[in-house]
Amino acid sequence: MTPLEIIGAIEGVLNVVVELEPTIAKASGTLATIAEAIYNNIVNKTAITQDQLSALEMQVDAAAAAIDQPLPDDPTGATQT
Amino acid sequence: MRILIALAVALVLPGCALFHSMSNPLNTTTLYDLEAGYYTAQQIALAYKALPLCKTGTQPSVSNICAKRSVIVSIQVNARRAQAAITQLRDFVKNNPTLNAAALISATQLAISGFESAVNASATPGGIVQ
Repeated sequence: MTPLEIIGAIEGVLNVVVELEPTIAKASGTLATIAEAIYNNIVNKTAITQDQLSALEMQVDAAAAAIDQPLPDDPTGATQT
Repeated sequence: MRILIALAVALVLPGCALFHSMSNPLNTTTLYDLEAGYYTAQQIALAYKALPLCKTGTQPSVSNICAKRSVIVSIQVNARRAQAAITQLRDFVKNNPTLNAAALISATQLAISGFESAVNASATPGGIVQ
């Protein structure tokens, strides 16, 4: 499979995701920055800098904190699985 | 732009060649690749968590788009494990820049895989990735 074919296949998956969930599309701006750095590293052999890594680490930590935020209680008081 | 976004999404796809092509276990690029894959999965998790919670006794479906509390709790448990592993790896690489971190990287990849599996549980009818 060529790189272009792989990207084409990934695009197919991405289109489905974007159509289904606008939140993913909102996140795509940040993801594009990350993907650009990886693309430049792989294709253009540009080294990832410590600043780029530090910026990503801050984003990862912020996302981890957001995921860990507790859920609201079930208003009915019943247990939901 | 679309190609760049697609590359980011590729990081969380099973068997992705980009994610598994790391050669030097110590360099900045390795950490960046690892954290980028984790971050992408985090975004999917956050999108799922942002959905309204399913009402008690209901199941998510195309006509009832909602997040199951149990799935979110599982995501949170696995996210804590993955975050702890990443923090440990960051600290190790920072404090021991010349030592081989391969074992820790493997452990971190395992923890991230667990997190991604939990996130994949959102790929149900009514979930975000179908």
